Amino acid sequence: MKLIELRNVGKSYGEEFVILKNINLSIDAGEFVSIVGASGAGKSTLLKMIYADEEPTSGKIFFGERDISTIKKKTLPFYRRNFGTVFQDAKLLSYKTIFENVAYALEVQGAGDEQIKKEVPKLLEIVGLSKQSDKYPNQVSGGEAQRASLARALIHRPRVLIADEPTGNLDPVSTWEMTKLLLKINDLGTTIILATHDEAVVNNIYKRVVVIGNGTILSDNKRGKYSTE
Amino acid sequence: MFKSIKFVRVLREGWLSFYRDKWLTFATISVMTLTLFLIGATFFLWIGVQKTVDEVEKQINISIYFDFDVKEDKIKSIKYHLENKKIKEIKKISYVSKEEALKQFKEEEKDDENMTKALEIVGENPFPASLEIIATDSSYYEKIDSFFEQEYGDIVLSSNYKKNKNVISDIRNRIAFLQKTTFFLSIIFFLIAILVTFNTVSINIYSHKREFEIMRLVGASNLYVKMPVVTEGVLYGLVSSVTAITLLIVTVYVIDPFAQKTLENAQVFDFYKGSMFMMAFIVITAGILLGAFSSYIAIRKYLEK
Repeated sequence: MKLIELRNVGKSYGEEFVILKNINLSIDAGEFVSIVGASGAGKSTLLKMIYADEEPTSGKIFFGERDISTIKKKTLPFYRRNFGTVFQDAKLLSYKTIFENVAYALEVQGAGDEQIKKEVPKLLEIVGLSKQSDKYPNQVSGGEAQRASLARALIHRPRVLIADEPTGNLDPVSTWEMTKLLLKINDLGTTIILATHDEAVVNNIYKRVVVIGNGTILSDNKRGKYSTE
Repeated sequence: MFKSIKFVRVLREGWLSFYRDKWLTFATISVMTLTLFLIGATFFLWIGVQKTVDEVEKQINISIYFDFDVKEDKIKSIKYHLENKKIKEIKKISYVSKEEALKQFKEEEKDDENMTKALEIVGENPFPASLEIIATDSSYYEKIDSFFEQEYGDIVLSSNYKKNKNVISDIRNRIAFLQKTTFFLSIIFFLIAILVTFNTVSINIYSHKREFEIMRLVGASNLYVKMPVVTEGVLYGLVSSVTAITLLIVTVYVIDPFAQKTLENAQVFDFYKGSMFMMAFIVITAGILLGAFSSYIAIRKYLEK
């Protein structure tokens, strides 16, 4: 079932800076898609357009049947709740503990305290952070912070997980742990869109690979590998 | 609908944000306290000027002197007639009999021997009966004087208006100048207070801009991001205004003994005592509104996407 579709999508800043042009991409529910390409290829911009943090200059993006350009600014937060996002920097709120950071994503949606007390520890256990739940972001390692960010992205059970270079700042061990977690989440049914330029991660996952370069899609393989050479 | 559970969380987030970054909170409160102190001091300045003006205006009056042969009853009937008509220009009319006028003169000139001798030479009471009139505004004296000239010209001997005209006009000009200056100073101080508060709160909010991005990314609605910031602004306003009020009261209290020494027993503390609640109300209201609106306006640009 088609979940996200980009039709002739382009993004440019003025006439000189063309980031993406004529992107046609369709992602099914439950898929694991790796968007790969060199730094500056437009991977992050593509992701931002999908969760409506950036508007395309041309073309249309559909989520399900809905053209997302028709979503009113006021209701954008509700649209964004379809997504969980993980970035290269964990983007945790420094003044909240790991538990509070994860809980925050539920709080903003109006979840009750009981639900928060029940679900947050469960997810922290899945990502291996039960012992770190009372610590602040500056008291945990980069890998742990990134896993906390992943837990926060998943706590509200989004339909799509968007991961933008989630392993960019991690050591090989943490990178491998993160990759395994992403695969596990995908197995449980969440659609994952991963932007990365890390060959090892993409090749280990061995799922759909979309290569972006020169502002367009250079290749799209169902079970692909990626090589920077 | 904004659920009550969210409302409690919004308050908690606002308090957390207020409490956690102590230096930033201290800096913001310090600047806001100074600006609110300025607003409170401006209010005191305004009250001071207004009370002084009232006092000065109370001293101004004119006397309408009646011919010697006009009977007391006639003058008193004019007084009652004018009082009953409730003329808006006239605040108070007092009848001063010939005897009272003489008594007042003697009292005022008791140290002047020449005057006492002059009175003895004249032999009889040289003072006419009069109506002493205090106007509701010093600008009405000319009108009142003309009124008596027109209506009672046949029995009015004279009035001291023309003699005092220049003095009254001079006092009026000074009062008007003082009031205008205070008014413009108040506006300038108030604008300074608004700008300084807005800039301080904006800088504070700017330092948290990354957090707003994170909040939006996890699906927080604009209102959910905005309200804790506004709550934080209200808290800044509240704490700053209470500090500013305390400082103002302490300042007045400290100035009091110095003022008594230098300004002929001026009771500064007593003078402002009656206005303290009004000042506190103005400063707290200004603090809360400034804090809330500054925060509300400053955060808007981070939530445009």
